Amino acid sequence: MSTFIKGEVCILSIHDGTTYKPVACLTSNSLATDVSVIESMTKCDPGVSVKQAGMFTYSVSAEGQYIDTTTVGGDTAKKSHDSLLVKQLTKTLVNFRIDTNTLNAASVKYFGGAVISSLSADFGSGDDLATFSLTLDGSGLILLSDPIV
Amino acid sequence: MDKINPSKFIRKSIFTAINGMVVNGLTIPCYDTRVKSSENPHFYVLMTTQSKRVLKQNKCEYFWEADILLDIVTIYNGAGNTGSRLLVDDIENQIRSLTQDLVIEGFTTIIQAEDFPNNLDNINDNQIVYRNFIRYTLTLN
Repeated sequence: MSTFIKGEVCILSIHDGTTYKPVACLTSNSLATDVSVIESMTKCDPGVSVKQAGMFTYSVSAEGQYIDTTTVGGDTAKKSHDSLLVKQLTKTLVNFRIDTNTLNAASVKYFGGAVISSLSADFGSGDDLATFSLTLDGSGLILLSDPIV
Repeated sequence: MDKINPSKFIRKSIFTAINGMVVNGLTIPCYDTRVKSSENPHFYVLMTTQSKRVLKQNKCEYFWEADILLDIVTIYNGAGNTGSRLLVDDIENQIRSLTQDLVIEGFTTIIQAEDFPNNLDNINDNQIVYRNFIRYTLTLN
């Protein structure tokens, strides 16, 4: 029987040097992987294209509601725009984890290193809650076990 | 969703804020759903219909979105064109002034919105009733 997973239990976390802290408060997060295609054609087989796998790239993106994770009284067990901006300014790779099911310790988990390539905060008006979005540009391969352990 | 039902705390907050307010020299009582049988006020506020739903806006936690409808009632006895809508409007203004930032015990108010359903006037041979309504919608964490 197929086991379906609700998106709400799939959580992106960022390592802060001590532990992985969940990005909060997420409204959506995704993982996109790509392999470029190298296409060639020879005179031996005219009209036939031959394809090879090229470079593997990936990115992780997330959107969420902005919360305070850095000041006194803030939720320092999590990471939101404010603490992610501090990470981005260091211009170093961050380690991330995507847990596909936080309700199941044995669930598939993806690990990797990435550059915080894009981070934006949106402060609307009226009753709109402040939001943020994040893009991680992956470096190297995606791993299925934690490289930091 | 492990947060408790906020309805009674919303009523408590509103009741505390507006019961006994003085408008145009009149003391305006507030009641839950209906007027006490021992009292016969002509000007009062009822806390009426409540509804609520769980909002799954993010992956951290769920919110409550809860509504409550306030019914502002002014009754003028006597034949002819007695009374006016002045008092009911003034009571509405005073309620809004007193409830700008409702504090709900046990919850954090994320958003407080208000809207105003159509007023309802009831006119018969010996009585005119003017009613205004305020509906508060509270997003609670």
